[in-house]
Amino acid sequence: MSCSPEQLKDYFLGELSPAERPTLESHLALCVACRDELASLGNTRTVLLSLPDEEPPRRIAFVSDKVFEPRWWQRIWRSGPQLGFLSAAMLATAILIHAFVVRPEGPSIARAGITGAHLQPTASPADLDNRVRAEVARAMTENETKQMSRVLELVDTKLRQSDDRNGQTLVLIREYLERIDKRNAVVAKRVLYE
Amino acid sequence: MLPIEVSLAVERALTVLSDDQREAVILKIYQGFKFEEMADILGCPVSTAKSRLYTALDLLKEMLTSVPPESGSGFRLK
Repeated sequence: MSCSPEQLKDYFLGELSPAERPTLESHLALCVACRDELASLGNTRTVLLSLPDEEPPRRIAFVSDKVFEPRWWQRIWRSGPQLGFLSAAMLATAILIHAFVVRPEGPSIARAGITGAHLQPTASPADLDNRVRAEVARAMTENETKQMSRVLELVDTKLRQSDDRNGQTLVLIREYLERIDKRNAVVAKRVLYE
Repeated sequence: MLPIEVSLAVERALTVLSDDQREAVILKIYQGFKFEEMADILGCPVSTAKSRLYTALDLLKEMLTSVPPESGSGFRLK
């Protein structure tokens, strides 16, 4: 195998197929240049991940307060996900209470004279956890979709009312919001199917 | 190199990238999405998402080559 920068990057990012991995690993054992490239990519990632997990300080708050004040769409957007999270958390709590406290007796099965051997075993904590996660993800997606379409409607209304300059900004905001919506959908899909 | 200097170097390097490239780096390196997921989010073919990311990685590698990896503060971006 000859050097393949693209395959090396796939490997580095954990995206190389299991079938192709052994060939590349054998090549790596023999090729110093590729090993160096891999080490260099690793260093780059380490440096990139060293950004602090905090927002930049808002210096001279009394001067910059106006600058950092959320716009109308930011206020709407920020309230949406928060409401979504709150309702999802409440739903999760309700499911847990239902599962542990108000568990149904299952009289119809007992009355029908079905023996315990035919009953399904009680859900394990892992199953329960998965069900709760799936429910929460579904509820959140539903809520976020509703909130997002409301925000997009508002942006569209503003877009119709605005002049050209504001219009361009609103188009950018719209694209940004649509992208966030898609990202949320991918995250929700991941939670549902993991 | 002080952690703040590393942060500044990283921020500067990320600013040099185009919006598309920066988005690809954030989705993959900071948020761990797969190529297919990135393509879904960015609304482009997988090959385009990959090519944006790879070009960005090459640029970042060159720009950050002088930054020692152990000098960062070790935190993750949100």
